[in-house]
Amino acid sequence: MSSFDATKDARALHWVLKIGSLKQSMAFFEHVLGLRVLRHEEFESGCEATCNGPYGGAWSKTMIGYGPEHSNFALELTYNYGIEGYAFGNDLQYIAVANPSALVRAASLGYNVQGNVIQGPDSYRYKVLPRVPGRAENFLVVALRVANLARAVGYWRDVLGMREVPLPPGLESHGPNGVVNPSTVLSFGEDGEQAMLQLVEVQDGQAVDHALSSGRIAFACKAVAPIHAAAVAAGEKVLTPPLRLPTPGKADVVVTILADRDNYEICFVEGTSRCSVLSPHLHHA
Amino acid sequence: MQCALATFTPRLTPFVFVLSADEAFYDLATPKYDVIDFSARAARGGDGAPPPKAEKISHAAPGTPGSKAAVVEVADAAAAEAAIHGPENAGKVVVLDFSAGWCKNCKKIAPTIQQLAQAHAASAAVYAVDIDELAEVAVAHDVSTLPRLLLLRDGTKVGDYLGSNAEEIKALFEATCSNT
Repeated sequence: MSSFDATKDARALHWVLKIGSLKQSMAFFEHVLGLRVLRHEEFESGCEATCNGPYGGAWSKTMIGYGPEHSNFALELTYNYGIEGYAFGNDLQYIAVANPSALVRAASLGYNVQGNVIQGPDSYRYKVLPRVPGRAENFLVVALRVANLARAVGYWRDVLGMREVPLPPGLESHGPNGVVNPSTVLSFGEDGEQAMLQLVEVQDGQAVDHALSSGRIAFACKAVAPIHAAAVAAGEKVLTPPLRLPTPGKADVVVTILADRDNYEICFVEGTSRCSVLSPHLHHA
Repeated sequence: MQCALATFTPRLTPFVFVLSADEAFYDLATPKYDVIDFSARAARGGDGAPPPKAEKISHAAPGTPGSKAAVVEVADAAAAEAAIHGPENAGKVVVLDFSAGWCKNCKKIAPTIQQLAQAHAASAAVYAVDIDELAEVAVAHDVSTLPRLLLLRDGTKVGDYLGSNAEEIKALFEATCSNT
């Protein structure tokens, strides 16, 4: 178990998707998944914490979700001007949402639907599940391919301090020939209350390939320094040591970016003030 | 204490709510959503829109509104052919000024070309070729670098200049266009 409690109050904030057209993406997210634009920002040059990937040019960031960011999981859509598509890997398996009507809308709008999985723009897949009574969060899991489940869980649970939770119904993962893909669901906070992480060891013999479209998961936490220290102590990868990012008109934000054993990027954002930074605002600069 | 009470004068200005009733109501009723300006994004070449075009170089004759421009913009590949080989320019030097809106040096020498075209109107016909619009004309004449001037008489090349030095261009015009 983790030796520190810095992640006790940690919360899954968002998953970053690199997209080739915001117009096409918003048509899908608004009309099929029913997500709304919480925050849209345009930037002239790349971000210090490589939020937009290794690109230096103009880009935009669009936070979309089912509710305000301070209490709901969100998707962050990263668009780089001049880049209309990425080489997509096999890393992100699906994002599971509890929004059953999405399937009907997807089919009627001509998206590729197979069973309860919708293929959205940029080849990302969304697994649609029934609503969970009493659960406010509509995002269930972000499912990621890992090379070795035990090794991956050893990182997320033992280094970062996430907790294993029982596999929610409908999230059993099957590979080709109906083989069950071993998977583990992990979460910060109370069981099943937040958006969770599902690590899947896909039984198809393929290695984890992030190609050029690798996403990134972000968590809010009390303090990033102990998390960074734990990663260093465990000999794990650190992409960005704790870094203070100035946010005009608001309190600075401290972030650290780590990488897990399958090279998934993990961004920890410090402090309760992150709530106000993340709150949606209508008029951006 | 009594004294303080006695000197207290009630506030006469009415109490004003900072928020209007509407604002307060909608704040509670709906979360705030952001707006994406898709037309502004498209103007920057975003979301699959074509990249923004540089503003074309103006070849209108300066200071003489309504008069025929000394530099003629080539409309298409056929017009370029007609200018080079057609009877209208027989015996004249045909100057092809290859340029593009994004080429700063082309913009810089445009007034010089304009003046020279007017000064040598009797012996030279000057045409502007925008390579963004007429890529095939640029390819046909092996033009891959700007600014570039090609001078032809009856289809035969009599001058070729790559650069943006006004004095050199002036000398080129004088050497090529004066001896008719």
